[in-house]
Amino acid sequence: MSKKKDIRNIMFQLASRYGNAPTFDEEAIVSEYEKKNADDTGMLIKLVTIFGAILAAIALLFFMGITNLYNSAAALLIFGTGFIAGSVWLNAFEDGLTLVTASITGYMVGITLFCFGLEKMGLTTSMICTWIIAISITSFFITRSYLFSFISVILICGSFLGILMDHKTYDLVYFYISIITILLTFVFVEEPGILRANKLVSMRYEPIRSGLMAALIFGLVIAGVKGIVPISPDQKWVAFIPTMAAIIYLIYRASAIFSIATTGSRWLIYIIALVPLALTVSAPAISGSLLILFLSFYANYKTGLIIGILSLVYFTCQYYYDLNFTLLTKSCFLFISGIIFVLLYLFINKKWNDEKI
Amino acid sequence: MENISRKELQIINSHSNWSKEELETVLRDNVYNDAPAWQKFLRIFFLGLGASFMAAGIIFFFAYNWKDLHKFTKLGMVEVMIVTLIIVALIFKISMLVKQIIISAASILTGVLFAVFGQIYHTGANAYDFFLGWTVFVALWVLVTDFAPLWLVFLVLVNATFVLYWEQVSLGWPWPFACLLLLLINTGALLLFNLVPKLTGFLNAPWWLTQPIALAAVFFATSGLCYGLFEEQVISSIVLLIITAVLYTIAIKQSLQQKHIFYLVIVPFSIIIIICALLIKLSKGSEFLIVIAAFIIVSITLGTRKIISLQKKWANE
Repeated sequence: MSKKKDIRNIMFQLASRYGNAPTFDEEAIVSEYEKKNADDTGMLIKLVTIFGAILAAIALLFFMGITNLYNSAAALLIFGTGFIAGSVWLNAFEDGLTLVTASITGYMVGITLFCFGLEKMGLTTSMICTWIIAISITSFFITRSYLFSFISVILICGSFLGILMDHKTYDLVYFYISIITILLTFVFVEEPGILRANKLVSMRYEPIRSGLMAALIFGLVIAGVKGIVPISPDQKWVAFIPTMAAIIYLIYRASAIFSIATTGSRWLIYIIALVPLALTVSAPAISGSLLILFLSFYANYKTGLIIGILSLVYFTCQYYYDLNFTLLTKSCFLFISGIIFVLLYLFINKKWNDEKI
Repeated sequence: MENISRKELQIINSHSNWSKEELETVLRDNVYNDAPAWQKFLRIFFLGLGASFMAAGIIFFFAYNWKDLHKFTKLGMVEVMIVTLIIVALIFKISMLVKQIIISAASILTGVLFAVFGQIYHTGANAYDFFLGWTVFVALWVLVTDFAPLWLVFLVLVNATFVLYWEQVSLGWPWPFACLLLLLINTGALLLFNLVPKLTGFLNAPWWLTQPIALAAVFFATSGLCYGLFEEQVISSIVLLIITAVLYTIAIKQSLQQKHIFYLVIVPFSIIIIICALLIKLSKGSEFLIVIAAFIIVSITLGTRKIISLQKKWANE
């Protein structure tokens, strides 16, 4: 069965299943579907492309080092601007695969040279980060490639972190985590609204989602791993509260799936969710990973699910490793937590088995 | 109704007059997880967390090295736990998934038992002995349980045992030779997971088990060959090269037959890295870096275009 016939079949099924006879621009759909299928790369190829672009960029930067380019601020800025402009121009008109590795390599080399040039001119880290934010926002709206948009989101969020680090306002990392948490939750939960919104944003939905997830992980690493920055543990609640609120909101949305009618049952579910959450109040990295896990499962986003599981395992191990208690105390915490989770499992298992009967 | 993917819905949505609420309904019915999926997820989530935390709590307890306990009490407690878990798994009428998780916990506790033994008797056993004992004593459970996460733990133990053997016991084996053996071990595991299900219906390995094993095999092949290039270990590198070439050819052929792109991505990427190492070795100065950069860009671009055209061809067949 050809793809053209498949997508027409899907459109027919959707139109007949859902009332109000939606209108579809069939030829536009078929044309876009064939084009997207032709250029569909999958996550594995995207990862290889990014990794290859990084390797090529490193080799190019080393090569430029031996040409004494790094001695001149003007040369760095000119070459940097040239690489950035060239890469963005290559991706401005289509999001296909042609030259995507070359353009991403050129973009990374361009950003690096531009930063070196600004630094040679004496600009502070914060001012350089501001320039990066401006360039990334511009690139984000001009290019159509998934990878370019993804890298732009990472650069924007990373530059904000850079500004915080430069001003040594390390505790504001918790505010950064809070803001990214709210944005990520909004992007996941309001997917229908975003996809029906302005085409400029809806076209870039997936890189925005992936980029925000990566930005959140960066923030959680800084907050969750001791020794990276001198961050105060007293402000952890700043990151924890939005995460807890986001998870509770997600439960509220998910309760519609279970058709939970009674208020009593709803409150029971909130209490069941709050029990494991309460154990993470001093570990925003763990609650952040839980949020990523639940959001990804809610939206059936498999890559996010894997990232959520891996980050949950990592941050949990890191947290217990860093705890300033004896091993005996830690073992008690872990064992009691384990018993609580097993009891929760037995409770929900019994409840759902009883409902089936 | 035919399965509709998110990508297809996004394309249709961008050329339709759906409202936000209508699109939400369509996504909920066709893409988002439904109530049975949520129930399964939450069951696995709470049970998995519970088992992991309890096992970790037990491990931390023994790591505390509670000096007041008599050595027989320490060993006895772990042994009683292992025996209890196995009895529960064998006798009680519980679901297969719970039995598999219980036996996995018992497998982890076997490692704890060996660690406590080594700690008490100061056997001076290096880490290789510990991992070897742990691997051998859980092998039968792994085989019988046929639980993919436990298989993954087992294969990590096998690889760790071997690497530590090379590091601590082997008499100066070159790294390419060690990588050759690791490549064969991991490829053997992959063959097992491919052939045994077809012959017996047993050992059904999901993609998240086979793909990390394949990645480990490719990693060792790449690492061994790159190291052999720079350290000039000719004989072992040549043997590794020949066997890698044969295995890579088989992997590519299998990918083409099964119309699956995984090996078509990781094998060429490995070859690109090896060729880059060769170019660095042959280059006389840093000027060659631009050639290497150009090679990486061109090869990845061409490789990706080829894979996409293959995917398009398979989709139309």
